[in-house]
Formats: sequence, C-alpha cells, structure tokens
Amino acid sequence: MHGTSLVSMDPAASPTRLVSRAAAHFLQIGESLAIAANVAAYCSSRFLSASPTPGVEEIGRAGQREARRRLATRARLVSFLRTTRHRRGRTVRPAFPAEETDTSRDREVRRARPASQAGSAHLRVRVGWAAVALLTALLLAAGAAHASDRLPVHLPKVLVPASTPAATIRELTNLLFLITGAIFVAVEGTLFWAIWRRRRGGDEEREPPQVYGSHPVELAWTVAPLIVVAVLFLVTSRVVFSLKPRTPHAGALRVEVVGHQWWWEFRYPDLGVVTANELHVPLGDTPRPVFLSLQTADVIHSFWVPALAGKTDLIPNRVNQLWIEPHEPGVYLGQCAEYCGTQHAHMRLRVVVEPEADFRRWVVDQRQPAPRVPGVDVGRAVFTSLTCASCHTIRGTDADGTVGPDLTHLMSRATLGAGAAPNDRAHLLAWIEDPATVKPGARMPALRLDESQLAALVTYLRTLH
Amino acid sequence: MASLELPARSSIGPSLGERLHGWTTTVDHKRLGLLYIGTALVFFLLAGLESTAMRAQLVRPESKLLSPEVYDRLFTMHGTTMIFLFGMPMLFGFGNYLVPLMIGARDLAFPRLNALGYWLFLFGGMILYFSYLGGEGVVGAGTAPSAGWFAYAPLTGHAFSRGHSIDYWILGLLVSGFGTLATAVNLATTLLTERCRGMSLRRMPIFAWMILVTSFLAIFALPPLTAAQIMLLFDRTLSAHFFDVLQGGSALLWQHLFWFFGHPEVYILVLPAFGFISEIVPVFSRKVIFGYSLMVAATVAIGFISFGVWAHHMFAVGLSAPLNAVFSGASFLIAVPTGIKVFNWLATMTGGRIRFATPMLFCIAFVAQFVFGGLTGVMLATVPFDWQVTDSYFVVAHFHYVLGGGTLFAVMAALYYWFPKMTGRMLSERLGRWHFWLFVVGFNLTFLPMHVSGLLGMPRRIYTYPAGLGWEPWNLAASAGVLLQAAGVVVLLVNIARALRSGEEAGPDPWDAWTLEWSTSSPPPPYNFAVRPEVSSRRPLWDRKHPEDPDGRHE
Repeated sequence: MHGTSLVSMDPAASPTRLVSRAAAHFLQIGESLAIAANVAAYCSSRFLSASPTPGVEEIGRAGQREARRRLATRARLVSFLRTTRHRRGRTVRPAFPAEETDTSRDREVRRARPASQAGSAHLRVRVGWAAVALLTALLLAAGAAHASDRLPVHLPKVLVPASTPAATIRELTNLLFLITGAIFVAVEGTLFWAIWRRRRGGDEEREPPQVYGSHPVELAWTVAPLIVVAVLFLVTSRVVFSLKPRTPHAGALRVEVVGHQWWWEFRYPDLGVVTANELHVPLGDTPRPVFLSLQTADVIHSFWVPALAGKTDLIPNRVNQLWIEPHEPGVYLGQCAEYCGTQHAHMRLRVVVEPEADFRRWVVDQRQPAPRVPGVDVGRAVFTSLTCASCHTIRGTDADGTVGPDLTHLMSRATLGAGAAPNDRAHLLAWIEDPATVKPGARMPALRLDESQLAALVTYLRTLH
Repeated sequence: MASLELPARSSIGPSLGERLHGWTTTVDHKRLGLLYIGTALVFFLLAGLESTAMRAQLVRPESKLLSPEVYDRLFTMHGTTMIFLFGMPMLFGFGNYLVPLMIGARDLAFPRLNALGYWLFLFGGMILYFSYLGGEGVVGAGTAPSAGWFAYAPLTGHAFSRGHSIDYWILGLLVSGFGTLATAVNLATTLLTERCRGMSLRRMPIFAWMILVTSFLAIFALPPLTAAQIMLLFDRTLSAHFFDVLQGGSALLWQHLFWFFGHPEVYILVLPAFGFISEIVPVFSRKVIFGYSLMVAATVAIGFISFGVWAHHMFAVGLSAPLNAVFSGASFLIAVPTGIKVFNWLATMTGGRIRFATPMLFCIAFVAQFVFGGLTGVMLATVPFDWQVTDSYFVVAHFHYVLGGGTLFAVMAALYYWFPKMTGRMLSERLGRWHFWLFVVGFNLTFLPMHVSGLLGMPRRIYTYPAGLGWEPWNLAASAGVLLQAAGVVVLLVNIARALRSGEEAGPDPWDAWTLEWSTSSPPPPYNFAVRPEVSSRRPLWDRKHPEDPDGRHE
C-alpha cells in the first residue's frame, strides 16, 4: 500500500485516478480475505504445534522423521502466511522480542528446511512481491501519492500490530480466537448433530423418551466452562498488568495529547513543540516506549491507532496514560473512537514513526518560528488582523490564539481538518472560504473574505513549511 | 373478540367507537399485552427505517446522502427505540399476555396498574418521537437527540447539546421507565401470589421464571437510570453540576450510573428470550426441558452477576489494572450460567422428534447466533482485546448478534408460536419460512462483516469513511443484508394481515403443547379459565395427555 493517498475525496475523477482507485479496491478485498486466511492458518498452525513444538536441537538429532514431517507442514503454512503478508506489503522482520514469537520459531524452521521444499515457497513469495511491485508502480504512476509521504502507510488493522502493546494484544487475540473458535465449533457442531440425528419416521404419535436431566452431565458442563473462564481470567489479568500505564523513565519521550472537537493537539513538553493531528515519534535501533498523556478540552474522545495500541479515552478533568513502542517506520492511521459530536467521523490522526535522525530534523524545524517569506505580507496581515489570530497561533507573528490548531508549520502536515481533506491549495482555499463545505459542523466559522483576501491568505499559509 | 366485555347491540357487532373505547379503557392483561406487542412492533418498524437510512449512507465511502447531524440523530433514535420502545415493551408485552395464562391466573395482580404501565410507555415513546418536531424549541425547526443511546456526559450538557432534544430524550425515557417499573412490580407480584393450586415455584414454567428474574432486574436496575436522568435534567434546566465538567462535575459518574442500569438491561432483554426458547424448543422436540432446576438456578445466577459487570463497558476509560481485572473476571463468570442454558437446550433437542415449524426454525437460528454473540462477548470481556475493539464495528456486530440474532429471533419465534393463541388463527407456514430465511441470511450478511470492519479499525458512529482503508466491501455487504431483512419484515406483516383476515382456525392447542395457556380457548376468554386449573407437575397438559405416565414422579 505504499504511497496510496488515504483520503481520496477529490470529486474530480480522472481516468488515471479511477484506475488507481479500482486497483486499490482490488487490493483491499484481497487483503481482507488474507486476514481471514491468516486467522484460519494461524489456528491450524497452532493445532499442528499442539504437541510439544520441536526446537532446533531436536532437528539436529538423527532419526526424527516425524518431527521433520511436521516441520515441513508447518513451513508450508508459514510460507503461505508469508506470501499473504508480502502481498500486503508488510515487512517480515519480526516485530517484537524474538523468543516470544512464532515468527522467530518459523525462521529457525525455515533454515532447517530441505532446499527442495523451499523452492516452491520462494516462487510464491516472488509472485507476491511482483504483484506488490506492479500495483505500487501502478498507484504511483496514477499520481495518487502524497508528495510529503515517503514512509509506508500502515492501515488501522487490529490484527497487524507494529508496536509492543498492540503485538501483545495480538498474541492474546490468537489465544482468544483459538478458545472461542473451538467452543464455537463444538457447540454449533452439537446443534447440527442433534438436528441431523433427530428421530424420524416410525410412529408419529409416540413421544420420544423423556429425559429430565442428569446431575453428572449438568455438573460437567458447569465445571468445564468454569475452568475455561478461570484460565482466561488469569491470562487476561497478566496482560492487563503487563500493559498498564508505566511511569516514564528519565529521558523518555513524553507527549501530551489534547482532544478537541474535532482535532488532535500534540504537545511535546520537553522539546517545546506543539502541533496538530500528526504525531511524530522517533524509531531508534531498538524500539523505545513513547509515553502519551491524554486530556480533553471539551467532551470525551478516544485515542485509537490500532496498529500501535488499544484505545484509551480522553476524559474531562482527568489525565489518562497510554504508551506505545513502535517497531517499524511508517505512517500509522488512527482516529477518535468515542462518539464526540457532529464531526466524530473526521477526527483522524496520523502517527509518523520515523528514523531518529529524521525525527530530530523534524523537531528542529518545528521549533523554528514561522518562516518569513517575502511577498506574502498581505496574506499575513489578513491573518493577524482578522479573527484568524484569535483562535490560531503562528509563532513569529502576533497570532497567538489557542482555540484552534497551531498553524506555525501548517504545510508540514498531510491533511486539513484532522483528515477531512488533503492539504493542497484547492482544499485549503475551499476550507477557509467555508469550512462547512469540507467538514460540515466544524467549529471554524466561514469568514466571508473577499476573493483577493482569500487568495492572499492561502498564498501566505502555503509558505508555512 | 370484544363481545364479552361490550355486549353487541346489533348483529353486526360493536361500532368502531365502542371498540376503541374498549381498547383504551381495558384493564385485561391480554388486551394490554396485545397493545404492548402491537405498539412495540410499530416502534420496531420505525427503528428499522432509521437503521435502513444509516446503512444507505454507509453503502459507499464519502457518501453525501445524509448530513452528519441527521446521521447522529438516526443512530441515537435507533438505539433508544430498539432498547426502550421495542425490546422491553415487546418482552413485557408477552409477559403480560402469557404469565397469568401460564400460571393459571385470571389476570395480573394489579390490572389497573398494568394499564397505567402501558399508557406511560406509549406516551413516553411519543414524547421521545415528538422531539423530531419540537426538539429545537422553535416551531418548524425540529431535531431529535443526537448524543447516542447511552448519552455520555458532557456531550449531553447545554454547552454541547443546545435546544431541547436531550430534554425530550430524558423525559420520554423517564415516563416510559416509570411504566416499565410499574409493570415489573406487577409481574413479580403476580408470579409470587397468583399461581394456581399445585403450582409451586418449582413447577412454574421456565418462561415464568425468566419473567420473575427479569422483573427483579428491572426493579433494581431502572432506578439508577431514573436518578441519573433526573440529575441530568437538573444540570440542563437548573444549572446543577452533576455532570457539568466545567463546574467540577464528573463525566464518569454518568457512565457508572448509566451502565449500572445498562448491563442488567441487557439481561432484561435477553432472559425473557431465553424463556421463549425454553418453552418452544421442548414442544417442537417433543421432549421435556433438560435440567429444569439448573436452568432456573442459572437464571438466578445471571440475575445476580449481571449487577457486577457494568464497568466492562468502561475498560477504555482508564480504570486501574485491578479494577479492570475484577470486572473482566465477573464478565467471564456470567458466561458460565449462560453456557449452561445453551447446553441444556442442545440436550433437550438431542434425541427429540424435531418438527421444523417456523417457531422452531427461529429457535435454532437463535441458538446458533446467540452462541456466536456470546463468544464474541467472552472476547470482549478480555480487557486488552476490548481496548482494541470497543467502540468499533466489532462491538456493534457483537451486540447485534446477542440482541438481534438472539432476542429479536426469539421474539419472532414467540410471535409465530403464540399468535394462534392470541388471535385464534394460524400464521402461514409458507410465508413463515420465507420470513425466516430472508431474516437469517439478511441478518448474518449485515452483521458478520461488521466483525471484520471492526478489526480493520472502523469506529462505530461515524457518518462517513474514506476510501482506501479496506472497509468498502464489508459495508456494502452489511447494507445489502438490510434489504433482505426489510423484505423479511414485509413478509411478516403480510403474513399477519393474511392470518387475521383469513387464517386457518387454530383451535385451543395447535402445537400439541404442555403449558396451561394451551388448555383454554384461542383466544382465551377475558376470565382465562372457566375453572381455575390445578396442577401436579411442570407440564400439566402432558399429564392430561399421558395419564399413564405423568410428569410429577420424575421431577
């Protein structure tokens, strides 16, 4: 999915755009099916390894054909999984501490696998890559890529985590799928068995034998679920405690997230950076946690970036904590998950996880006051002399309002109105002329500027890199 | 039908005015039961139209069919209607109709209180829907409430919800809530004091037990909601500061009060449905219910545990880890008695001579779908997983499987099963099958894909979504399913109309059933039984039909 525009609200549908959209649709259906396949494959692989999983040392020993055969089956499954993952354009690098994951075990398995079997799997992988490359090229050619967006976009998928908390939850989810799946199959199977094996024919008038109950049986199906829920309770509690908010250690990156109707404010208290709707975090050589403190300026919101962590609400008069620990660079999509009024649908956010050096450069840029570009004095004057300045801040000017997003580096962001429109000249113009046409119900009023004021203002804002 | 109360003056029967007068002044539990059921069906159609409009909006990304304001009103009204104006009145309507007949009584303990309950419900519903006309407070400019059915503070405060729509929401639910409370007290009293001779509590039909537990749930769960709503009303009209966060009020207080009502409410909606299934499955399997005592014990257990799980709606608000773990554990625990019920139904069906009449078809689909919804419920009780999918379409799918695939299907089963008793006419089996299959396919086509869109990160209550996130096919499928369900509802209405006009005569006992309501004529006379029956087992009609092997000695 590299480079697709996540928001395609341009109503003008050029042929190339249509092609890119059709291709994107095609990809998404495939992906969604792949998730289903993924779940199924995962469950079956779990079943396969239900007997003690043979480790590498076991493989080294001679005469263990059974183990090898099992491994080969697993490897085929794994290669299938990988093909689907490749098709989804996801890197295969294990995303979390190696010894806990299946991925790492799979890797060992793969090393131990006879070369003859590897061939077909590789072919499939290559076909997968080819498809990705082709489609990416197609999409890029169609001009759908956002200029500022060089990082891969990670869709908000619960089952494709890229951060420690989300990955931990994913592991737990696998267990849940397994347990509930087994119960589902057993109960629905019994239901259909009871229907299938019903009494047929014979004397219609005679009632079947009446069974009033059975104490041992009833005791059994009281105790068995009790055991299952006891196990679930213990596992859940362990994960709840392992993911609970931590106290940031010295030198950790802290970000204050403030929810507003309907946009996100991100403040970096230690770095002196304030921005909106795009959260930037660094990715070093080893993943490090980032600590978010969540507050709201008005109603309840909820911070949700599925690939990074579960959601946590932003509650008035309260500070909630959340931590993320991204493993891969990229742009992660999320949005407000607690209904918060008219434009709840357009309270989206993007988390940009970038290499340490890029992040440092970004911080340096963000700390600068607004660039003084010559030739836009008229637009600047419109901004600072009219009501704009009472809601928005542009550092380096007199504008210091705090009701709306800080616009000092407006052009460093990919979207307008918290994901309501792409950040280009046409949409900026439409947005300022009347925000309701882009985001009906948005708190920003239409200012009724005349055409020359509007053009000057937009030209000025477009310089705020 | 009315001739016994209002003696006909001429051979053509009572006039329209007389009949209307009869229905509005009636205190007969059967007529009030029918009024409840009929009114609930009307609200069901309204809520269905609302959801159809929502699905039309979501059929494709970036749709401009509905404005965000209209969409927000639709989901608020859909949820509120389905819970308060369809679910509870429908179930209490059946309770009203069936309880006295099942326990061999002549009427409820307080017939006039019963009438009061119905009229409060009706007027409460009308107040809520009047908000479409008067919510803005200015003639001609109407709105309905748009804060969601659980109306989280501070979105319901004056600062964020101007006009009077929230006030209508509060007043409508307050009024109908008092009606529900009156009915619950009435039903519980009836069940405890009006049972016929020989019917000990241990011989009550399971449906009667379910209504008893449900009534107690309502009696204990509704007052916190009523209190919270009055507090909110004070906030809005008298500038009190219970939930006004700018003045030191608490947004979480509302959530605690609301869900302290809200979770038992789920069981208020689902226990009577369990009762329907427990009555219908045995009759169409030709077998006695398996494990009656455990069934009843499980119901009582659910009743108690349901008051200790409310915070599982609040896992994402930032409760402490121990608190999260405790509420998670309590929520897991409630799966045990619920599971027992499912196992007992399966055991009842096993080895039975199953007849696939329409009521039984709906029961089978109920079990299949309810199990699915129950299992996603177990997943949601797992706090970390809940952090991911709460407030997403996964949760929407989950509770529609429980309340739609569960309760609604059970209500349909009950409708087909007791319609002959209520009207003396049979519904058409052929149309019933059409209805059933349209509903099963439509329902699953609508709600199964929502699990996927939830896992793909789609939050609930968004009026639009962008292309490119992989949500399109799932939303398209969900919307297509709604068309099938709507067709199913049309078939149901045609079936009812046809049966009332020219349906086959039902006779007193068309299903060869075993509980007391089938021992009197269809429809029953106003006094129910010429002589109040006396029972010696849980299946009095079985004893009458099989004098050689009565039930009593096996119980």
